[in-house]
Amino acid sequence: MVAVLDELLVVDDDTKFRGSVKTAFEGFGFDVTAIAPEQLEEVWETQGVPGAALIDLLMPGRDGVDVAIELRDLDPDIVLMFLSGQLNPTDFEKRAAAAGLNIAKWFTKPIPGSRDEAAAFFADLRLTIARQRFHNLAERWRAETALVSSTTKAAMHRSYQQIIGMGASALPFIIQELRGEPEHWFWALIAITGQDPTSPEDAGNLTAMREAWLRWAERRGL
Amino acid sequence: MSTLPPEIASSLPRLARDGYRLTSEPTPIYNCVAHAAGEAFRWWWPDPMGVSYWPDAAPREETLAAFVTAFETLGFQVCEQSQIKDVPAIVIYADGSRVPTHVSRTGDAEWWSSKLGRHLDLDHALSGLEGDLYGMPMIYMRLQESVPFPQARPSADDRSRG
Repeated sequence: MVAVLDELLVVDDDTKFRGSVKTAFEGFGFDVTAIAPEQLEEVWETQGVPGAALIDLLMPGRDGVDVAIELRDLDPDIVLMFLSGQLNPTDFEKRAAAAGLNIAKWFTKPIPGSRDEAAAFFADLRLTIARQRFHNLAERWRAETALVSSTTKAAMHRSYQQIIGMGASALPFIIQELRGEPEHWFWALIAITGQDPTSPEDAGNLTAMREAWLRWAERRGL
Repeated sequence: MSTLPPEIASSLPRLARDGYRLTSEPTPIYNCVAHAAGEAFRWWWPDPMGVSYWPDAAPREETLAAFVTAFETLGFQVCEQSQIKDVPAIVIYADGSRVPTHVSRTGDAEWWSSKLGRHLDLDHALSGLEGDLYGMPMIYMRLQESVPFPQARPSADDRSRG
């Protein structure tokens, strides 16, 4: 079964490139939907789009920034990445920043040809998607549950449940957050790991629970 | 009066109309139930996962009865709203399904005192928190005369326990 994190939308105007990208990405475990920019509405309406998109920057008509804005408007939590043959796309960066786009990474064409280079590229791509997806979901959860006292209601929030759905790939980011400050990640940690290193008498004590989970993470090299 | 953060003003629109005083910085360490119970070092809630603190004597369920039992362990008893004037008291808010959402405690003079989720503490009128977010005040509880009122603010002891 393909994990949600491995589902990727590729938007590129070049038919040949779309075909080769789909083949290359699927060889590394991604489930790719490769489309031309003008197919976006049709794909969105008929099947929705994955939670991450890799968009060619230089396209005639609507360019990559235009497509990214449209995708962000369709799904505020989507992970956006650009693929460009241009090494220094400063003008695009300015436009993306002006539009409030949070671009997870700017990749440079061509996609590596050798097996080792490609493996490193796809590992980086996978990590980038997971990190940005966690960040987007965590920010939404924090904003939409800031005034909620119910632990249950906060944990049942859609974004929090999607973080749990990320499984083990979310653990490094949760632990990193906990290293920064106490936060209510314990329900997610228990759900993902099936473990609970905290003492029952420390229930609700975020400082003590955080320390217990950080010790747990350290023992596992996280 | 400090400015109400926009995320609070939009979620609790009656605060601006009925008045408020901000009394702390945001913190995820404790919540409204802990604040009403006089604690500032842990989060109280009867969640089924058991990650939040809940008194052993009270059922770990999101019902008004469970909240009443939890505060009875601290010496509170259910009363009418008319019986809380000049008496230390708490009020439990609940939504339209009578699921508890929030607890406030009496503060200075006519004010009530609340911690808003992971956000800040503030003093407010009872009506100031009514609305879609917390629903309505449902149950009032007053402290029995022989029991000291839990501290309204984090004590140095509480902070050191964090």
